[in-house]
Amino acid sequence: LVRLREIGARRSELELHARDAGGATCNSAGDSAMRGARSSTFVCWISLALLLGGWSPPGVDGGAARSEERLLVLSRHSGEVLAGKDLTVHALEGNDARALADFARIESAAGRSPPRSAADLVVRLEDDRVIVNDPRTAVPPTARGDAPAEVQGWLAPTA
Amino acid sequence: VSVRCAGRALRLDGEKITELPSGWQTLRAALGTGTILCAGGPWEVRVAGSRSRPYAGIFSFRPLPDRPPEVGTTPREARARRGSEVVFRTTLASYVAGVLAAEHAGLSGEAAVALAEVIAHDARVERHPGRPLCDTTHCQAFLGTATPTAEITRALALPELPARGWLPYFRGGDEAWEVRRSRAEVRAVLGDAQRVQGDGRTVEVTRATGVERVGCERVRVALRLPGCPRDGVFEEETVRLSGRGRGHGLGLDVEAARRSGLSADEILQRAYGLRP
Repeated sequence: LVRLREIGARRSELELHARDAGGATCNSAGDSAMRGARSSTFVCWISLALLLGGWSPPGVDGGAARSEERLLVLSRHSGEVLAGKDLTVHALEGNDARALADFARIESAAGRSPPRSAADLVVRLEDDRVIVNDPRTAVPPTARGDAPAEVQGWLAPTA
Repeated sequence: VSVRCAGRALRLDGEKITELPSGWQTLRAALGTGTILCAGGPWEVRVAGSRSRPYAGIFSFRPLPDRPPEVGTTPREARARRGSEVVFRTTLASYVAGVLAAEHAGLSGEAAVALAEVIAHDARVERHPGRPLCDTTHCQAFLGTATPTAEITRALALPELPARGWLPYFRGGDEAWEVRRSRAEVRAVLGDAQRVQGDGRTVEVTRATGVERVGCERVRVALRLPGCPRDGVFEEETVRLSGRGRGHGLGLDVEAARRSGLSADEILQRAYGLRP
């Protein structure tokens, strides 16, 4: 009973954070409803496992991992990690945040809907970045260097 | 040009996603008329058998506009001005780091901050109408992405430079060079020149009909010289051209900036009059 109460409290907290972060909500089927955010697409989903039963990945549950460690920011342009570090997640699309962020990057580049199942993490698509994080984690602001740059490639041999 | 992805290589054609085979493949075959991404790491690119270099980003096929070549251009110039159908996208930070590595590898300190600011500025300036910058020295040499250094991070945290047009820069230095070109080649560029002398930015060409002063860059590019010629000695079949330092001599002299001991702001002020 105590466990179920914890799960319920955590679920409410995550939903609250998701709303605070950008005005998106996730319904119980994992669909996202878009609101606000003119310049960026904000997409979130909360673990189906958490919503349906409160499952958390090993090593993460019970406060074993601090929320400030649960952040990965990937560039949509270069695919490089801009901030944070990889972490284990349990999602259909991959077992780590990097794979999940890559998946979101590719899906969005193809104009498809982003992934809808993950561990108790939020995935956010901005103009320049994919963010996978615990909603309680502070996300570094976008930097000028994150913006895209393009070149026409003759791809000359190295001298 | 061959590419390889250490992770998963994918091609997007509209909404269709195709997984590409692992291992080396030609860029043309991998790209087709779509967009290719490498999930899990940068692309490795090998050109004409050279060592591989990283390209962290997305390659896209972007058709060229149907534009007739300008009158008076050589086939090489016409090809260069027409552009390339291969467009590479990365972050501004990785682009600046890549250009800095290609243009002046090993540069550090205030000169690196100043040059990174200039590279980031020029990344916003159009050199080929309606097309991205080229990756050759006509725009800014780019031979792949690199990890941004502390100087680049610092430069990109500063406000954008208050300039609108292209800001030129060159390697500079005082390393002596000497090359020989055939008289026919020199004649094709400078006409019936009898004497050639330069001041580092312009070239004074003496002919039987008089003296003409021309911009160094036209001569340097046409004769494939490392820098602006200071002197030309006409021999039987050849012309011996010599000079000091590298590049076209316009704008920021990177080597002089490195030796100056000035701050990044002072370097930019001296080169372009941009900051107090």
